Amino acid sequence: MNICIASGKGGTGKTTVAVNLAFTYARRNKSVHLMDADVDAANAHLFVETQDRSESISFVKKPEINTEICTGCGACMKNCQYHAITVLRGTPLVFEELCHACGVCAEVCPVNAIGYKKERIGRFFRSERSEATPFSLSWGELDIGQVQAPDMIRQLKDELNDSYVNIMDASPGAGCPVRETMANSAAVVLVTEPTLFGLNDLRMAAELALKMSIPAGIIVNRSREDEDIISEFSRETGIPILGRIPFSRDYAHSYSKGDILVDLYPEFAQNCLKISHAVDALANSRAVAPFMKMADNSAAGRYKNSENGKPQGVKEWVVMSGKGGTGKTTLSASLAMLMDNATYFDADVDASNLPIILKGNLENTRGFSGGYKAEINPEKCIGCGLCAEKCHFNAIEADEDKFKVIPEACEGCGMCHLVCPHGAVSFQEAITGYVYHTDTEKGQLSHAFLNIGEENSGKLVTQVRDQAYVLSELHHSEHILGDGPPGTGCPVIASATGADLAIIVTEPSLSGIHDLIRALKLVAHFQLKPAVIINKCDMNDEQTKAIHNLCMKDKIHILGQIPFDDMVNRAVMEQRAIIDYPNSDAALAIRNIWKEIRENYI
Amino acid sequence: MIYVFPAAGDNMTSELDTRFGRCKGFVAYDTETKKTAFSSNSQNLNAAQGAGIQAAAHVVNLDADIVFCGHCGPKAFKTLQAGNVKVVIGVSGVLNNILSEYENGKLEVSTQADVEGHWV
Repeated sequence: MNICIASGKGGTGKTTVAVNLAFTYARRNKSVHLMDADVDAANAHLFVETQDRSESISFVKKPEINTEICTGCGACMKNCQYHAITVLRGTPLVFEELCHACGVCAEVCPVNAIGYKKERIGRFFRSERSEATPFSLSWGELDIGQVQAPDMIRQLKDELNDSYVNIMDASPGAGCPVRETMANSAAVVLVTEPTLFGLNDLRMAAELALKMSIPAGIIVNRSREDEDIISEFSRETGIPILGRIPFSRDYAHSYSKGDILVDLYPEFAQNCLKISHAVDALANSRAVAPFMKMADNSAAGRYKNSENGKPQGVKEWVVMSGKGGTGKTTLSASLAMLMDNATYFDADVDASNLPIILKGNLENTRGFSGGYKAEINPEKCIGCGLCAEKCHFNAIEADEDKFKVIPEACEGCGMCHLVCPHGAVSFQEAITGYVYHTDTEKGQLSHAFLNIGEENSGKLVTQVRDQAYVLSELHHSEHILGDGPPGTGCPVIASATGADLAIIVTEPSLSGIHDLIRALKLVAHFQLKPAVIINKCDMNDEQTKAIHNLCMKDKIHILGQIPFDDMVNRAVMEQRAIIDYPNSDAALAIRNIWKEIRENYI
Repeated sequence: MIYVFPAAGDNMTSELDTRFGRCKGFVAYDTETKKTAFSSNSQNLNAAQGAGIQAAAHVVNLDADIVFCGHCGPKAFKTLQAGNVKVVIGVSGVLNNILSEYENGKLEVSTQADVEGHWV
């Protein structure tokens, strides 16, 4: 039985739930395997003692062109949807970073000059069951700068044993890596927090599960007694609440040390036991709630890239984190309130939250095309299945006596269109998201929505930034502030390359520090200037000290630290920035941080 | 020798377009005939990805010996090198002025890209 733990929102507690459920199922005498699918920032292994750890390399196949046979005809170049091959004066040149390993080039080469070679994209780790840890564990780490998370996730899943309870801990968001993780699950457990941000992103992850016809259930983490926004969502959609984990500073502190909650707190263990039975029931019910329709803006025109780059003299700061849920948007919203003459963007196109606080009038909506989509015409299809056989992405499935494309899985490579003997496959540019421009009280906000399960959030992020540059020029802004996505993958890279400052928001926990280190590696790789903010700094004084030491050693500027503050939650519910609450400790800390930024970076 | 300039206009009195992949077009100058020709880059202006590579391939196919850029990303640079085109980075202004600066030995050929790649 495959159970996928997802959320939409980062930092809601997926890994905490995944690890504790793994212990719970194991103690129910099941054979359990925990697979950490967050290959950008794997954390599950930090919480358990690993045994007999083994390591292997993750490869993908990249095209290798035999230049002796190659005639320079350029068929490969013409058919590559990703512009990964170019032919210069008869000699082919491959750009491996753009290659999606779809196989089209090899398919169309008239002289069979294209074969494959293995290219490393990251590492896999595996740990076996032991007394201390009664389940096996696997995880992966993408090399910094590599982006093929779905490939690594597919490879991790290939190793799963069907007779086990396989718990798969997904990454945040609702894009292609999460889609890949959810595929073929018996149930999706959506871990959320009862805040507007949590709810916003929960909708996206829920829609993805429903689109894939997988039964979904919700766990409300950091739940409080008066909470009802998630209950309301559950009633509205028919997605059941499987359980609630109460907000507790004790739980938070134990988590930050990497402790196992089911071992320390008997009521937590009881709660998890109940939840595990609810998950079983969900998986067995095969009940899928009716599909929720998200907003349809298909009448919108297409976004066109501007001809200029960042305007001269404008300073661009981007907020990133590595770990999800550390407080990027909370910080960005407050900084936006403190800044003047600035333009803003929200680069977290998978799960955009800044517009919830920076509200205003939607001025413009334009469609974004992230690529092509294939569609099979059932009237022409003869059911030969050649398309399904050739598809490298498992995106075509049988539909009675014919075949059909799974739209979210389709990567727009064109293989099926090429090989179909009856011309039954149409291949067209598809709208895969929308770019928005909102006029807010503090300035112009550029943001976007990536359709559920889609890829190419890197391209969409680039368009969001491009629009921010155009707006900043029109409105004579001196600064651009961007709210970035979690992780270290392609959307993060796209949100920060060329920025003047990368503000990394971290939290003092094992996971937080682990992901901070990865974020710092990413920043170094792309030659960005980093600065760090420690949020929820009083969660764990030791870890906060450790972060200070780490930054001092590498001469990284710490802009400041923000204590945990209950008022932040209230501020989000009221859709206001915390800086608007004068008695808030967090607000005071952010004001000091702003002073630090002004004194050093303007 | 053929010198190519990404340009905002279509002749040597035009300004250099400091963006390479999405410039309006290219002005090619032949040092022997002293003639210029303009070719448009419009198909790349709205390309979602690979614009730099396509633009570089276009420059190579113009039989350029040297291309003069404001900025040039790593993929475009790699493509130009593969096509044996020398690259001069960091210039701006009117094309005629850039030409005379080069002819007076004030500009150097670059050995690497100067900006990090824009994602796709």
